[in-house]
Amino acid sequence: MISSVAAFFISVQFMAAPIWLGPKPPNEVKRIVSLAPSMTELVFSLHEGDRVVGVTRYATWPEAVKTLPKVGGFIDPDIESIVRLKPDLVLSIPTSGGADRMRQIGKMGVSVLVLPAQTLEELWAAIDFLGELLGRGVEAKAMRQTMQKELDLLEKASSRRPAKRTIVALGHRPLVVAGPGSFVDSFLGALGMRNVVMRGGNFPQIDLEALVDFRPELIFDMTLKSEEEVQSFWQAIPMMGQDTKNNIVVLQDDALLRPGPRLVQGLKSLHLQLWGEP
Amino acid sequence: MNRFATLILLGLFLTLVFLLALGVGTSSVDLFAFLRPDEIVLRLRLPRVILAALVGAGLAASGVTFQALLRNPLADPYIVGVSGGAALGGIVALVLGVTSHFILPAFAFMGAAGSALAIFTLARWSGRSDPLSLLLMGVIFNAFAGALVTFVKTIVSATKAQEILFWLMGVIGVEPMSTLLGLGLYLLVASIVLVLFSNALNILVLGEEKALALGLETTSIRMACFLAAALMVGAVVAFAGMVGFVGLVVPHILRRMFGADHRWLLPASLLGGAGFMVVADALARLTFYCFGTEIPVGVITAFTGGPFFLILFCRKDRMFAAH
Repeated sequence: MISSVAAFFISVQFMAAPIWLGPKPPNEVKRIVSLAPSMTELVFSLHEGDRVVGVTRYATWPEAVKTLPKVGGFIDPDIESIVRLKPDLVLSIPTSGGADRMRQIGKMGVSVLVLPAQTLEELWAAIDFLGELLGRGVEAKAMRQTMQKELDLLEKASSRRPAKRTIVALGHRPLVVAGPGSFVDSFLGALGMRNVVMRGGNFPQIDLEALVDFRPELIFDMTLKSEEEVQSFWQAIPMMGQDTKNNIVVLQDDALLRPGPRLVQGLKSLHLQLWGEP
Repeated sequence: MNRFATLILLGLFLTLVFLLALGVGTSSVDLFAFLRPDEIVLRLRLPRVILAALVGAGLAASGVTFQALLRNPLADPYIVGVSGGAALGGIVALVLGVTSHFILPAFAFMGAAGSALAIFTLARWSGRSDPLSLLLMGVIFNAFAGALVTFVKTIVSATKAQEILFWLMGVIGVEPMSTLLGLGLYLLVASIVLVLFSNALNILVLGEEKALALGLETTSIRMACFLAAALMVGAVVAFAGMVGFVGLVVPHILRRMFGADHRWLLPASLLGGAGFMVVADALARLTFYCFGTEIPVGVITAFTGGPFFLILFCRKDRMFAAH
């Protein structure tokens, strides 16, 4: 009973709309502080990277972000360092820093855009929205359509063979996996994978017995640890079939962890690596 | 009922919950699975139940020791700052990229022993070795260690921070037999030391002056017991993270049954702690059926331990009188 109620709340996902906090943004946004690596990447791929004046410490792409001022992390963006950069737009996602902190920045006279991009649908909408905002509407639409088309192709290619029963691991000790509500879950189909974890929220923690009980055919390891460390972890698990142990896919870069412009490209190369065809 | 019989009963209780816990899993529940163990029970549950038992034994026995050493019924490794020190040591190891199951406990032990020594020497150096000052110093040290842990969590990558966070909440996983053997060995050495000094602990509880008057080498005995308890906490924290309140709840229930004689209390706490933790961990596995995700065992022990601590605190006059 409890579980079905919980599952209901977890499975219902609304497509959230962008929210503005603080004053209206200027007609031409010139100085952007981005509080999410995915948003930073979107601005850069719309060729407006030189407007970005501050990023979080988790920003890794493109190279240019490494020299930009850092204003904190996801949960602890620092208001003072943000305001000091004199931005005319703070670009955030619903999880950045907490609503109070975002409102506070708004009260300091800086426009804050909370742009949801936690599902594929939201990501497409976010690309269009950001494109319009930065005067790159045409490019944004083209980028979005290319991404969608390529994703469709991948899904079609994958649908030709039965999807592999997959566990997506995000942490080893304890074992944290991608659940049905996670962003990762939404693109597994394009990789020819089917998430066997059907409940437990975004990131359930499971034990080895549950893992074995799921009878995965493939393990998609997104912990971003070294190949050696990942292999030694999975090979040591008792009672997991040798077939599965030979099917450990180790994610090498963070492109797939972020709902940003590199997602589809990352999926394409992984698909190629897995199935040997586009 | 005499104490010997009670101890035997406690041993039987541990055996019973141990066997029943083998039947509780995230893929199936069959309380009598121990009668016809399959591969899942033997290879996936047995190591986990053994780890839970070892962790519980270590936490409860170190709790009894700290309570005697600090002459304070509220002292628990989690509360006096030793767990915090161990966690700090373990996190330093994680950040340095140490994942070896033999080196990680060494780091945690160094953290635990370091914090125990720091608290101990500071107390002596400042001439404040009364129970209250020691407890206060532990609390302050824990807060300090907590801040350092947060600091480390902030500067590492998001995935690593996540890993540390989960570990701090207390988790019982499946470890290879070699690891369990290693942990068992650490605990065995420490238990032998503590049981040998259990009579001395009885005298230490009477107070520094009385112990000295009775001709007890208080400083070296205190130090030996402190280090042995720190060894237990370090080894336990390295594998199970920060599991709180076991060292508080179990010794208190047992003190009701065995009185304050540490010659009985120490062996009893090893058995009782193991039993308590085996049950808590089995409950943690059951939560998987409700939520599709497992609640960390540290959360479960805190649910029982938190209210227990408060009740104890409100009745502290009676509890102090028991000493």
